[in-house]
Amino acid sequence: MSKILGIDLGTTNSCMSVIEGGQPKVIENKEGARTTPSMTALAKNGERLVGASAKRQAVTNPEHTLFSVKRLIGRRWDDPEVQRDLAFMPYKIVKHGDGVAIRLGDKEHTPEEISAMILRKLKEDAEERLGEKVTEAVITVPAYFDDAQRNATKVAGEIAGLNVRRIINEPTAAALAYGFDKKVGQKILVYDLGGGTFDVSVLDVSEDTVEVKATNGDTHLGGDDFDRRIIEWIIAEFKKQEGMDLGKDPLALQRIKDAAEKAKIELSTTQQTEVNQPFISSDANGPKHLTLTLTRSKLEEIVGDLVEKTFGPVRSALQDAKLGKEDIQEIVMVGGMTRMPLIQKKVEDFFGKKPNVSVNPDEVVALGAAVQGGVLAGEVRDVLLLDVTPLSLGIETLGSVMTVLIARNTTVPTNKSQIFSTAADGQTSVEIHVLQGERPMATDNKTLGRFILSDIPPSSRGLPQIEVKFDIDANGILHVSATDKATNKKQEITITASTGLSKDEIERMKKEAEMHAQEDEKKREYIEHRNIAETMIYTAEKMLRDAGEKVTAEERKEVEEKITALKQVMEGDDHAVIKKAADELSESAQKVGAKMYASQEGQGAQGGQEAHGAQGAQGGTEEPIDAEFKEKNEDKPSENN
Amino acid sequence: MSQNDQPLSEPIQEKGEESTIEHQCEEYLTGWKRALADYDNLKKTLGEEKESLRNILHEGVLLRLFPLVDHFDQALRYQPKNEDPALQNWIKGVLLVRTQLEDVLRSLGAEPFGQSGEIFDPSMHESAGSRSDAVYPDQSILEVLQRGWKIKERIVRPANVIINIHVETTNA
Repeated sequence: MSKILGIDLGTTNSCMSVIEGGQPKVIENKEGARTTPSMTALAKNGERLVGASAKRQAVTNPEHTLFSVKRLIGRRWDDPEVQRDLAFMPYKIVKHGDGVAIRLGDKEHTPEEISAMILRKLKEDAEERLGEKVTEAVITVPAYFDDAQRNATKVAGEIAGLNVRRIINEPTAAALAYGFDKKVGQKILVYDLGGGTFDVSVLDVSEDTVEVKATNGDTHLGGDDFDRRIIEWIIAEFKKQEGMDLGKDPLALQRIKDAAEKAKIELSTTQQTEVNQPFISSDANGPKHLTLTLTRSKLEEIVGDLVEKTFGPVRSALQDAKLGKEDIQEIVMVGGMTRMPLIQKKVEDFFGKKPNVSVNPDEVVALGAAVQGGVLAGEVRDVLLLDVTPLSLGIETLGSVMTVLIARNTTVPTNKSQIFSTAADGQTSVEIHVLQGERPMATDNKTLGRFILSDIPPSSRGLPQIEVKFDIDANGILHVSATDKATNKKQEITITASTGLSKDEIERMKKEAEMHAQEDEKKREYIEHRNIAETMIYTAEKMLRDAGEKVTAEERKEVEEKITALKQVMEGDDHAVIKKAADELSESAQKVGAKMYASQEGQGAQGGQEAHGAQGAQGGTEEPIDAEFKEKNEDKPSENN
Repeated sequence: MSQNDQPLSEPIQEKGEESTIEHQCEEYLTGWKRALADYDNLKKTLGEEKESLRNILHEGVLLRLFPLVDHFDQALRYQPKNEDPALQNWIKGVLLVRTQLEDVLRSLGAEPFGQSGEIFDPSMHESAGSRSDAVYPDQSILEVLQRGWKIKERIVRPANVIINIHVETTNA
């Protein structure tokens, strides 16, 4: 069965996607671009152009270059929107029955036929990329499209040789791409700021449908308006500096457009950018250079009112849906312009929660259409829907630190094991405290369960090898086991609620981790230094004991002094001082250790190996690692302090 | 026969259960095989994607360098009309730097294109405006504002041009 093509037939740009290996994937067009301008043209030589090539000749062939035909599709001649466009569009729109047609050369075409030209290009390019025939498609339309407009879009698909399996709403597709169709009972707001239009939709997800509760927008507000503002600002600034109007110079204008686009993109990640276009023009006094600094705050000032303008429709849509902004559980951002940090921030401020931006906003609708296509083709049914662990899972180790075994966002089923050891000499039992969360300190995370592995043969700390294994099965059930490798004694626990957290709970935990990131990092560092220092003391003392007569009194004294010094500073809280003292002890101990090795190869290996093990902490899973257990009933943290 | 029929009914039922289990096993095995195949294919795709990512990065770097050549060209467009040999020699030096830059880009696989006199082709040229000149053919390029660049025959930046539109044909 051939693939079903998901098509986002946009007003300015179109995008297509198919399911591959259970996942939606954008298909590049013949020119290697991921989106295709929704433009067609009749070139002077009679050739029909579609996509980028149509766009490239638009300036010199405006009457025969058609764009934004989506604004006309399925509309009646007397529709106010059509009457409004008559004045705007450089191409000729004529009455055709009750509807409209567009004159291209000496022929008249319906908007369906024009859209079909775009769809046909997408179809053919997809066939070339996929190496197989594509005959079926899912096409998206704005939520506010009426039956006539939907039908006309379907007809366009059929003219293009596509069997249109379904017409779906763009906001629904965006929600599908995020997998939100499974969030039964949730209200989702889709904020779609495209090239030339702004749409906002409120969705209500139920058992088997995604219902559009309300839709609103502004048909003449989009990314192009933002670009225009930046270009105007650059032209005005240059005029102020040089008294010259660059707006009339086609090359200068092209360079300014490119520079404005570059500045806009750069300011999404930086606070300031340079607009640098040397030799942009010249007058009697010689060449002129365009050099400007554009800050993010200036950009936000230039376009601030445009951003504000989008919130009118957002409020109206909420009102129509009879919902408050607090009723919205998810916000999905669509359209390239939503990458702008100001827009994301304003949306976040308005709703008090972060909008979803992780799926490319230029592609999210097409990806969703492909997902719908996949469902229709049965591809998605065959593919097991794999879940991910929403939060990290791990155990508590020395110093009340959480050591992560399975990081968050790991796809399940999965398993991971790591070898740990004891924290004290003669320790015969370890407590496995299973934790969930993103904070480095055990106490800040959620306890999922605890169990004790006892009857470990008493030995020096760091010697026993205890393998802890985490296994999450496909149902999200977590099995944790601990095995003493020496005796093969095993204890385990099964936790069923490992992924059963509510969305809010997960969000709260993630947010807390973000909020406390800095102090947590400091705390973690502090404990790490203390742990290293403590291991250092233990190793050095053991070494001196084992060495006996092999060390001179002088050497012994030096190490002992350093040990005392380190113990002293460990009573305090300054981890920089602790680290320094530990480093000093390590240096002295290493000198002695090296000497012992030299004098007696082999026999003294034990102590040396341990010292090494303690320092080379984050090694593989084969070696005992530094993250040791605290023993049950033993107040390890306080002992460490 | 009727007596024999009775006990036979049980094994038939068992067989039914068995076939359900068999069917299920088959389904699981298919799913497993599919998952392994998906993984294997993913590894291949990742290899290809790595290659394409490398190309994209390469292209991204080149795209940022093209404006430098443009700016050199712009600088030369506005070169002072002064016969002073010292200045002319200096300009010659700047021209050499420009040539050097273009050579570097060529050695990295980029090829400039777009010449006056060529016929306008929107698959590789972008028109920024038009003039009318009866001397040259209709739709020919009168001026190249910015040259285009291709990498391995793929147009990564169209040439920006002013084209010739014969007045009598504009009304067609």
